[in-house]
Amino acid sequence: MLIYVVVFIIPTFASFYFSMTIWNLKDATFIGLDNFITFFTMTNTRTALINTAVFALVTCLVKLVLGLALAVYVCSGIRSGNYLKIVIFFPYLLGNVVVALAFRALLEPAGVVNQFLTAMGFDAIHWLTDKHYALASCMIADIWKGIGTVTIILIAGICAIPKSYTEAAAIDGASPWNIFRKITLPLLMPSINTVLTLCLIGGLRSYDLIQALTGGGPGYSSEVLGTAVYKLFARGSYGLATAGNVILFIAVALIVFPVNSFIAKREAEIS
Amino acid sequence: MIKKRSFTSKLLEILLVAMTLFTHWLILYFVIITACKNTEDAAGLTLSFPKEFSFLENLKYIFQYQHSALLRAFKNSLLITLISIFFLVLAASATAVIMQRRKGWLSRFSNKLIVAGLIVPASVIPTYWMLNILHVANTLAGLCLVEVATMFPFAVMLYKGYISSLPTEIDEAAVIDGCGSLSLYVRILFPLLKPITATVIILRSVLIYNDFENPQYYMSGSSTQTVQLFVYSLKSAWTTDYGHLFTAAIVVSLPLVLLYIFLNRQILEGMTAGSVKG
Repeated sequence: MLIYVVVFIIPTFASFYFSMTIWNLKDATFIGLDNFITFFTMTNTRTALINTAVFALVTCLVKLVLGLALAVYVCSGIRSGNYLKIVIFFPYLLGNVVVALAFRALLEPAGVVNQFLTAMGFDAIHWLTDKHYALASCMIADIWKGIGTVTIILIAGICAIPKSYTEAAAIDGASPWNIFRKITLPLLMPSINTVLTLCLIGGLRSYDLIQALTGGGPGYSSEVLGTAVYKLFARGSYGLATAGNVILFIAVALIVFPVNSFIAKREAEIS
Repeated sequence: MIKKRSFTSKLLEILLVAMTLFTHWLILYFVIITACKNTEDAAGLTLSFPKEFSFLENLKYIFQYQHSALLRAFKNSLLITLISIFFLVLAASATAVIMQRRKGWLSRFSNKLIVAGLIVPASVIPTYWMLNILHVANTLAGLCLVEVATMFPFAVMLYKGYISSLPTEIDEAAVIDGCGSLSLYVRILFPLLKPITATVIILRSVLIYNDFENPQYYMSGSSTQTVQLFVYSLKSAWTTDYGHLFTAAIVVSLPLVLLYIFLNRQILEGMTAGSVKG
C-alpha cells in the first residue's frame, strides 16, 4: 500500500502541479496553463490528440463487434469452439514489440500482404509509410492482438446466462436475432461494460505497439498521445510531457465515467 | 439448442476455422519460416520454404550478439518478473485481507483510491522524479517498484473479491484458538487464497514480462535491458534483417508460448475470473 501511494498516487497529484511548469526535474518555474495551450496548438501534439481519439474509438468498436459475433457463435456450441478460443487468444501472450515486428514485415512495401494484393490484381499499398494508411495499419495490428481478450470475456459472460432463458424464448417462437437482441444482449451488459472500459482505456494509452510499428510517423500521421509524450520526455521537456499525461488523465476520466454510468443505467432499466 | 444445427451454421464454422489459418497460423508460419532463412533469403519476405535451413546459425548469432546481451536481458526480465510478482502477491493479498476484514473510514478510503488506480493512467515523469528522490531511478529495484505499483490495484480487487467469499467464521475460530493476526494471515488465510494467487501470478507475469513502456521510460538511462527492450533495440539496429530479428522474437516469446501450450485452460479461466471482477 505504501509502495502504491509513493509510486502511483503522489506522482499523479504532483503531475497536476508540474504540468503547469517549465521543469527539469530539479527546478520548476510556474507558468500557469501555458503548457496546455502549447500542447493544443503545436501541430504534432494536436494531431496526436485527434489520432488517439480515433484510434481508441475505432479499435474499441471493431473489437467489440467482432468479439461479440465470435463469442455468440462460439457459445452456440460448435465443435471447434475450444480451438477457436485458444487460437484467437494466442496473440495476447506476445509482447507488443514482437507483434509490431511481425506486422512490419508483413506490411513492408514488398511484404506478404502486398504480394497477395498484387497477385489479386490490386495496387500495392505502402501500409506503414503512406500517411493515409499508417494509423490504420496500427489499428489492424492492435485489433489482431486485442480481440482475443474481448472474445474470452464475452464468452464467459454469455456462458453465465442460463440456457433455459434462450430455450424458453426459442420455444415461444422468437427468432435467433430477437433472442440475441432481447435476451443475450441485455444480460451481457455487465461484460460489455468491462470490455468497453478496458478497450477504451487501453486504446487511449496505447503506446508500445505504435512506437515499435511506425514510431508515430510518417510525419505525425500516426502520432498518438503516448508516442508524443515519450518524444517530449526524451527531449527533456518534462513539464510539457507531463501536461500531455494530464490531458490523457482527463480524457480517460471524461470518457470512462460517462460510458460506465450510461451502461449502468441501461442495465437498471432492463432488469 | 434443441433443433439440429443447420447446414449454413456448419459452413460458417468451417469458414471461421479456415480464417484462423489466414489470420493466425499464416503469420506464425511466416515468422518461423523467416527465422529459418539467412539474411538475403529472408529479405525476400516470401512465404516460400528457406533455400537453406539456417535457424541454428541465426540462433547462435543472436545469442552471441554484443557479448551475449540477450542472456543478460533474459536474466533481467526474469529477475524483474519474479521479484515484482513476489512483492505484488505479498502486498496485494495482505492489503486485501485487511481491507476486506476491517470496516472503517480508512479501508473505505483506500478502496476508493484503488478503484481510481484501476482506471487512471500512470503519470510517467513525476514517477521518474519520485524514483530519483528515492535513489532508485534506472535500477532494477526502481523498475520493480513501478511494476508492483501499476499492477497493485487490479491484484487487490481480485483478492478482495475472493476473500469476500471466505466465511469470517474461519478467522473467528482461529482467533479463539489463540491465533495472532500475523499467523492468521500466514497460516490460514494465505493458503486458502491459493487459487486466486495462481491467477494473479499467471496473468501479471505475462504483463510484466511483456512490458515495454515502463522499462523504456525508467531504464533508458542505464545499460540494463529487458528482453522486450533488447528486441526493440535490435529493430532499430538491423531494421530489415528479418531473419535475425524473427529469431530473436521467437526466442523472446518462447517462454510464454510454452506456458500457454501447457496451461491454456488455466490462463483462459484466469483471464475471465480477472475481468469479471475487475
